[in-house]
Amino acid sequence: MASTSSLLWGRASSKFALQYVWNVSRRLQSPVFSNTFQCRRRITTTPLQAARKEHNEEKTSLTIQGYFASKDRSKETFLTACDVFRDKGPHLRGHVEFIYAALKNMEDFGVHKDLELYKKLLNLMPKGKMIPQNMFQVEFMHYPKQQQCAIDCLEQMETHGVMPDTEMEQILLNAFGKYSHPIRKYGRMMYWMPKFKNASPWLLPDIAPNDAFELAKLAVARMCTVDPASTLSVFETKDVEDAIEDTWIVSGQSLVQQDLLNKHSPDEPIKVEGPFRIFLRDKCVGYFILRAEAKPRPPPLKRQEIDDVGDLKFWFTGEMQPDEEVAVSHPISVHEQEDGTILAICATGTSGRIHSCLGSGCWRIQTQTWPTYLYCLHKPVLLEIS
Amino acid sequence: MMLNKQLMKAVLGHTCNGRVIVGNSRPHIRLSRCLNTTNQDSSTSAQVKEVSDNEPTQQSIVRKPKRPPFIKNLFLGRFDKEMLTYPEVLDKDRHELLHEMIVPIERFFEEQVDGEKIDKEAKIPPETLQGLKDLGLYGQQIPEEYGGLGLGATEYARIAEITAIDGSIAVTLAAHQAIGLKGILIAGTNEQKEKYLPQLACGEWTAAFCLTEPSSGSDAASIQTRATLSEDGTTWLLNGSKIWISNGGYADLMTVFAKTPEVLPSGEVREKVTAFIVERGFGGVSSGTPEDKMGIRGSNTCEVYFDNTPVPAENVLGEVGGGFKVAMNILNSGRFSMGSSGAGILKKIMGWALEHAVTRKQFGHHLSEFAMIKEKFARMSVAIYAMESMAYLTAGMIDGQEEADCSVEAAIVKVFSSEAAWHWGSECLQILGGLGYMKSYPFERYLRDARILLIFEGTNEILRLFIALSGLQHAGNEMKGMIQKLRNPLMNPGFILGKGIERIRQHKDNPKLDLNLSDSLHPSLKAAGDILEYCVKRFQYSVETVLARHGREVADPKNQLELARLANCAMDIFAMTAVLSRASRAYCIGVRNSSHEVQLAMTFCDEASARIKTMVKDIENGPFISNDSTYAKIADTVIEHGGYAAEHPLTRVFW
Repeated sequence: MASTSSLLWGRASSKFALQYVWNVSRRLQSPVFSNTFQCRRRITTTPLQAARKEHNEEKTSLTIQGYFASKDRSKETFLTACDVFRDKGPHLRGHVEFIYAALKNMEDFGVHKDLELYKKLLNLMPKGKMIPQNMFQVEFMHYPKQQQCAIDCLEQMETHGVMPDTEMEQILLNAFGKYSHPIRKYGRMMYWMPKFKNASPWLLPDIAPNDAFELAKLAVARMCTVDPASTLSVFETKDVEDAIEDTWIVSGQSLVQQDLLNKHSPDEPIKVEGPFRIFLRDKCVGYFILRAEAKPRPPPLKRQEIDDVGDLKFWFTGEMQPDEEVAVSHPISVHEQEDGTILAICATGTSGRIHSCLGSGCWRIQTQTWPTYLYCLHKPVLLEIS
Repeated sequence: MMLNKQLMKAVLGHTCNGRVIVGNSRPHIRLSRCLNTTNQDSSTSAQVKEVSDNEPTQQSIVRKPKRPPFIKNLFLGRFDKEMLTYPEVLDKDRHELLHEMIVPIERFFEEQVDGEKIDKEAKIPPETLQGLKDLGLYGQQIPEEYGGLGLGATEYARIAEITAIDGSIAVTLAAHQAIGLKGILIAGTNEQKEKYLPQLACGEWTAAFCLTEPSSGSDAASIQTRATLSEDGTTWLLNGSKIWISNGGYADLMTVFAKTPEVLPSGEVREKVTAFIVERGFGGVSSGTPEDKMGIRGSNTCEVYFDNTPVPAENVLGEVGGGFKVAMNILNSGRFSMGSSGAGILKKIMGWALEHAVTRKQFGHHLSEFAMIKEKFARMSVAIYAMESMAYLTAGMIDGQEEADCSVEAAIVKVFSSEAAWHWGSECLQILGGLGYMKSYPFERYLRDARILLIFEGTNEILRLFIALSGLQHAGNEMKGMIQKLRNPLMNPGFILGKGIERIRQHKDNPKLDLNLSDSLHPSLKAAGDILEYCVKRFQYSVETVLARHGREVADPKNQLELARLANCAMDIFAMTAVLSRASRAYCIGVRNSSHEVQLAMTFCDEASARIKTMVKDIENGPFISNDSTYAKIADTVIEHGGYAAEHPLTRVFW
């Protein structure tokens, strides 16, 4: 109670606020309080589990379900459904049921990542009436059903990675007031979500493109970031003789890899392996790698050798021969891994199909085609498969 | 001796003046010490003097002393006190000859060189070039028997001060003789010298130095130009292209570096660099269009292509496969004059800036009354003093020592003076404000010209590595055993304990001073001498620390920041040595404004020691405290992002 009052009567310091959130969440977890508040939220469950909410289905009456019965599943019809509900009458009965039904149907309508729609839904809540007027109302979850509904709405946003904005805050404030659980949920979301949103070093559009070609380019570009000297090139198979079908190939290769390929002994096989999978948001791209067997790494300098500072050799003391010990060591490139040297990567328009035709595993590049390959370093690798 | 009488006069005069830095209660003691010092100090130069007085024709060639390398030994904590005697290598005849020679050169540069026009038209007029040739400036260091002036390093440096007044001319001359034909002087056979030097000395032929290639800049060993020996073994065929060759458009003779195959006893073939003397007339030599440059626009810089150029076998410079050493020697020997040329430019433009400052009035005061402007002039003078002192100390070492190893010193001179020229040139421009920015004033041109100094003849970054690594290599041989023990403390507890006592003093920033450096200086410079000694000791400690920390991996790219700090320390210590020995000499013999010189020297030492203190502390602290590791991380992020990685300040994450 003490913490509650501090929130109500004084401007709560952040420390107090944190303490309060902690207290409340502890209470919410305990069965006694969850019964009292009819709290359905399980803080310990994963967002996915929490978002399942089958129990809401029973509560959705047939009349409410009718709002979303339209054959045309689009944003417009969804918006229309909301508008119809809003304009139905002055009493706005059943908005909790309506919102739950809407939340359930959002994915179906393809609007589950659309912030505008979530705002539209929460804006259906009546304004003013549910704002707590005293500390008891605050402490005992004023209008619990409605607050829980708003929390669930926010929860679904979180699950789908939709970040609220300040207008959303305003909507929640209008409906539930400053000292309400949805606002607290909103606060937590606004603390974490912007951070997570920009946590990945590889920037992607909010919604990954549906076009396989664009996706492939994004995927190859992302994988190429291991080496800043990488270039991405696109080939059309029709430009290459012996092409079995007409498609595109997005290939990524760095100058270092070209160099490695140039130096590769023609006697040793190079394999094309794949497809491996890379995910861009919820979409998956298959890609192939051109891999040579790993070269044995030079043994690291022995302790005694490192300790010995006599007779140091540098670039200006004379020409270094390849086998001579070099003080400025030539580092092993990022492409030379322990399990193989990656010489190029690519994704193709029909990667999956080629994969299913040829079966998994690796293919040897025929030694006859090798010189051709060496000649045009950037030639699509897949077409060299024997 | 005359010198001593002069000395006494100077010291007595100075005592009467009372403007002394050390307390003046014991004038007699100071006097005697000073005399002692000078006797000891000037032993070498006095000797040289006597010899030249008695037998002026024979010079002092036989008597040149051989001395250990100064800076390299500094890495071991050894200080050659002889360096605190400022060299006087020119005997009376040469001294007078030099100063007679300077007069027409100065007049020529004042009257017949139009720097603005050269810059604008990006071409040195042929009559100007002819004037330079007539003055003998194309053969300054070529011995007299081949028709050159036969100047030593000191005289060459003095003349460079004047020729630097136009950047384009300075570079043209330097490309011709500091690097272009230097190879013949250093490594040429007598036949080669007889064949080429006379034409080069009179300027009938111009020389160029062809090392840089599109794929190999600082890394000279990686050149791609190839030379193959013909079947009969008489001709080499040269193929490849060189870029940014000064004088490349019209040079008649080029020192070209190319890779030649060398068959080992095992039958293996290796490629090594060989130097060739290539005449344009050999055929197959062509040049690209002159490059359009930021500064030194009048100098001719272009690509040079060699297409099956036949080079007779006798035109190999040095040994086949020994070209890398030749290249390094040429470059190392060409750098020292940049100190005096930088100082020459700065003195000149500082004079112009001063002229403006004393005439321009703002807020009712002349600019020269404002402390911020005055500070600029003062600091500039200190910098120029250091540049000059170092340049002529190095030149004196080259002239006065047998087989002087001055590569590191020359590199220090180059780095220090190029940076000072750029920075203080910019400050001179700043004093004029908007006027300085205008093309009608020469400041911007000098600034553009000076920018190349930081880049060519080895970029300053490469030279810093060179300074540090040369020293470490020298020190490493001797400190090998100690470093091994330092790196294995548990195996050598006795040694570590013994070392610990010394280390405790160093940790407390209070090294034991036992070199008595100030004994070799005029007593008024005692304070600065002690500071220098402190710096030498701290420097030795930091060398030990770096070697013990990294061992053989000291040259790894990731450790360069510590190497750069070592190089900066070495630079400052060398500069301190130079200014102190020069000021001490000036004060002892009573040069005009010598107390001003003492002030310049003391100020420089004070600031340099503060810099060294910080740098040694940073080295001692290691990368995590000195922010090196943070900077590495920041750079990694930037590299990963392909550019500046912070979001724009106007970015919104949500609305």
